[in-house]
Amino acid sequence: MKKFKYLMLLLLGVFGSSPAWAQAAEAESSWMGTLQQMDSSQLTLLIILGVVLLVIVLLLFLMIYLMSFMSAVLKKENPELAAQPSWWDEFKLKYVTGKMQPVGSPEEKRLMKEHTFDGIVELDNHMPPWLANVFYITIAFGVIYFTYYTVLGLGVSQYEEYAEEQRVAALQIEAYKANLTSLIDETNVVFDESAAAISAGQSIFQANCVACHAQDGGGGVGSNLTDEYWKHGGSINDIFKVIKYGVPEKGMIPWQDQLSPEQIQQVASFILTLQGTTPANPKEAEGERYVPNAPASADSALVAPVDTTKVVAVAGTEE
Amino acid sequence: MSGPSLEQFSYDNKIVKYFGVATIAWGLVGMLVGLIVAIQLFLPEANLGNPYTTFGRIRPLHTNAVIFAFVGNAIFAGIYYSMPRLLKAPMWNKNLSWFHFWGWQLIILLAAITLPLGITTSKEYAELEWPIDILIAVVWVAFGANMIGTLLTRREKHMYVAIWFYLASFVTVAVLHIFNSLALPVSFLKSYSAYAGVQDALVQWWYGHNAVAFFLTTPFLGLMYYYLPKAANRPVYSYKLSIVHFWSLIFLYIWAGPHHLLYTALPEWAQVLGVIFSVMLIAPSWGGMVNGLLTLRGAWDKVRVDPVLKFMVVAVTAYGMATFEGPMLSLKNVNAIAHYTDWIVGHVHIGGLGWNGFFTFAMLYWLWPKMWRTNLYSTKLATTHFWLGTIGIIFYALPLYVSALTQSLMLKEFTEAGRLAYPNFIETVIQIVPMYILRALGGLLYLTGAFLLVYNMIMTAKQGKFVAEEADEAPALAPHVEEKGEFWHRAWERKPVFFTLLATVAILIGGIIEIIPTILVKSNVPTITSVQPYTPLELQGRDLYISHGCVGCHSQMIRPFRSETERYGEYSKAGEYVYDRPFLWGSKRSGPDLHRVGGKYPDSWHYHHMMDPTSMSPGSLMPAYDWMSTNIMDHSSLPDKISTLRSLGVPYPEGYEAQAQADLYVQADGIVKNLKSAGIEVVPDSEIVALIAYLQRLGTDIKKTTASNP
Repeated sequence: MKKFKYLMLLLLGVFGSSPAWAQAAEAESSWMGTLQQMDSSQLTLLIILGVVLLVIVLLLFLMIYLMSFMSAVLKKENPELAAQPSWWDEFKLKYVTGKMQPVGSPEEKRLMKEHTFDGIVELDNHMPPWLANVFYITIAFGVIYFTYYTVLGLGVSQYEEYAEEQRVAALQIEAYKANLTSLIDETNVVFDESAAAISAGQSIFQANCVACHAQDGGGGVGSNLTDEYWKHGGSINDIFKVIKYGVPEKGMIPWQDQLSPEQIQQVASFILTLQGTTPANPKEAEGERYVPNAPASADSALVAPVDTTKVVAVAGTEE
Repeated sequence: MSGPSLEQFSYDNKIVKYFGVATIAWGLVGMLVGLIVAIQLFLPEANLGNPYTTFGRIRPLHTNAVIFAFVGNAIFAGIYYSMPRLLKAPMWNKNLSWFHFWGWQLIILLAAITLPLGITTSKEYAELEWPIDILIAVVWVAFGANMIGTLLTRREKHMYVAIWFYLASFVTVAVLHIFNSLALPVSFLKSYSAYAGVQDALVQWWYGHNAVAFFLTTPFLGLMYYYLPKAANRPVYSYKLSIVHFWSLIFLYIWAGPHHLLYTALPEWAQVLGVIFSVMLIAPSWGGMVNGLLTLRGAWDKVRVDPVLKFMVVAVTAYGMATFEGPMLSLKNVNAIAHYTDWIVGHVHIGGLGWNGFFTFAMLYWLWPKMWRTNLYSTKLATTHFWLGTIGIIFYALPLYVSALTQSLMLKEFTEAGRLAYPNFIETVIQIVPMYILRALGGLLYLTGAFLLVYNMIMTAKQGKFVAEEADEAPALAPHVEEKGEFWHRAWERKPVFFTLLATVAILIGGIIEIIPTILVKSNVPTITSVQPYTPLELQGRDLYISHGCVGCHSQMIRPFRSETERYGEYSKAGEYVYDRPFLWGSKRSGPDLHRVGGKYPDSWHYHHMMDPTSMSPGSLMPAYDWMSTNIMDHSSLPDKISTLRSLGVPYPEGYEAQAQADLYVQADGIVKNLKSAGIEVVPDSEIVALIAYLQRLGTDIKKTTASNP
């Protein structure tokens, strides 16, 4: 029971400092980043400081051990000393448990209030000191927190926090993009015929597109993707563009925030493989007929002759 | 005291028996409905395919049943037994007691009828419509009058700590209920909140949080101070502690409401107050737990054998856990992860199942043998109930913590390229389905235990003889003689009216300081000029959304986190909600936020999604609302709605009532045409058309400043 109380007190101490605690957790990634960017001399200094700290802590433990050893020796030599409460007992009495009278003892009886309520007796014990201390600490937390955020206005507002989060993310994204060797976009995308790409495209299609365009691409809420009629163009570039930016006024969602350019390329390539298949419930043709061998750009000219599937080839020869 | 002046009187046990039976009966109903809603979260078909038993409507039925019917009746049973005995006087007026009993059961019955029918204000734990609200106020005041009357006819000079808690609970619940329920009626079964948007949110959570405080906590602390020392036969540990924690608890609790609205569009000064007062509540809350547990000093050997004490120990410990967890959840950075997730559901059930449920069981197991002058029929059965309940709580809460962390972290995860790792909300839902199944299992165990209690109570009553009137005697209250050095609080304890007034002042301060500036000071809700009132059809759609309890799973509050703005769009602003009566921010996301769903999908997407959510979102746990395509909506109340809203300050032009119908059909025809071009045939009066109009409007107003009308 007593140990349990100390544990609670300790936990409380940890959480009492929660603003710092939590901010540390949130800043962890940037903290790690700083560490990685340090040069070796700084790092050496840091390590030395860490080791010194460790030694100090060890010395502290050693001192405590020696002191307890010495007090044991002293107590043995002088029995009167042993009868005196240790500083820890006194500390406990004053700040943690308070004086607890043994159950049923005369001391406890003396604490009983004279009056009873329907047989219920009340003891006139003091509030346990640890609880009072928890109360003081939380009140101090409240006062400091309120002063910091509201009176002085030093704490960051939730909108400033958000702006910072956005800024850090923008930097990260920029760094990520800078590392990419090539960037795929609607101007340079090509039809990727590799089996890996087509099957990746198929699973993206299954996960995200079938709700509106149906399992077999026959359409529903969205257009039929199996016929040669396209509302916004049927080249790989056009399809890429529609997927990336969407056509919000017609209900097509932009996917650029959810799919990477590679993924858009894969799913666009998969969609082209659907050309000429016969879906179960095809939606009627909408938009203009698109002829693959009338290239809009040099890149899509490259696409057409490739024997992606027979269908595309057939569509091509039809013209 | 001299013998001859003893007065003879008796305590009414019959009313306690009635409230006790009502507690058990409604408890079973409430828990059963809870089990059904828990099952619907992984098996949406368990809604039986009709609106009346669908999650959105029966989740409020569950919360109302367990809070007001189960716990409510338990409070009344406990008070009607303990209060007369603590004051050495029967309850003031027997007719008032019975009016209270039958009035309360009528309210519960009306709730059980209106909520499944979709007659709701949608404000959490205050869903009942205005006529029932008035009935609640009347019955509650009758209860309070009965208590005050008993106090004035008491034979005991001082009020014991339990009575303090009863009084504070009565006063505060009355204040909370009246101010949160303020609304302007449109018709007998429909009203619009007196507050809009941010203000409505603040008032609602001032109420909602303190419904937990003054309905689920303080009355039970009062009960604890009577039943725990009685059952343990030990003195209450500390009178001083009871004074400190009583006053600090009731004063601090009332401020903590805004912690339900952290990172929302609520002004940040109010959020700060919510945080600090929640943290300061730790010690006052623990005061109750500590005084309870230390009262058991010297009685721990009894805990091993007595199921009543077993239940009490877990109840008080669960109270301690929940009141530590609460302040932790109120820290902004913890809240950022936990809010809108199952963590909160787990948290309230530690309190609900552990503290309220277990303490109620303990009280009933103690009361029944007392009132029937016998022993408990089976201690073994009661111990089995205890273990079933305890394991039930663990199986209930732990999976929800796992599910909350899993879902929250998934929702917040970004890829290296800066994209959401799980852009589809449904991906995160599918992950936590196994946890939902475990949770339902926990609920089932707990409910099974409750059935054991029913059997045990029946058998105990059968083997004993009920004492309807229990005789007692006590000297009359002697006139007060001034005594020197009387402890100040001791003096308060013999002045019930003065004491009640002081408690009222203590509970009013926090609410006044938080609510009045939010309503009066303009800068707290900055105006956005492009935000316009809802069109008649959107208004109808919104009322339909309210009636179906969509807010139970879908929030309309995008917090300023990158993980939310990337997923849902621009974060929500206070000024966007000025025409929202009531506000629909929600408190739990079982589905995605809908604040910016307007214009995101075509009308036909919404149609297909409402007919069968899995068609548009495979794996979805949302139930189908296929009746919406055929149900015809009654628009005849529209003129009344328009004029009611205008009285509340919504700037509909004078005389717009006459034109509203025509406008409604113009907009409805547009949607019908849109759907037709996608091959869907619906009539303009169908519910689905109004709902689509509302959904397509959501969150679009602030975009108008840059884009023209679609």
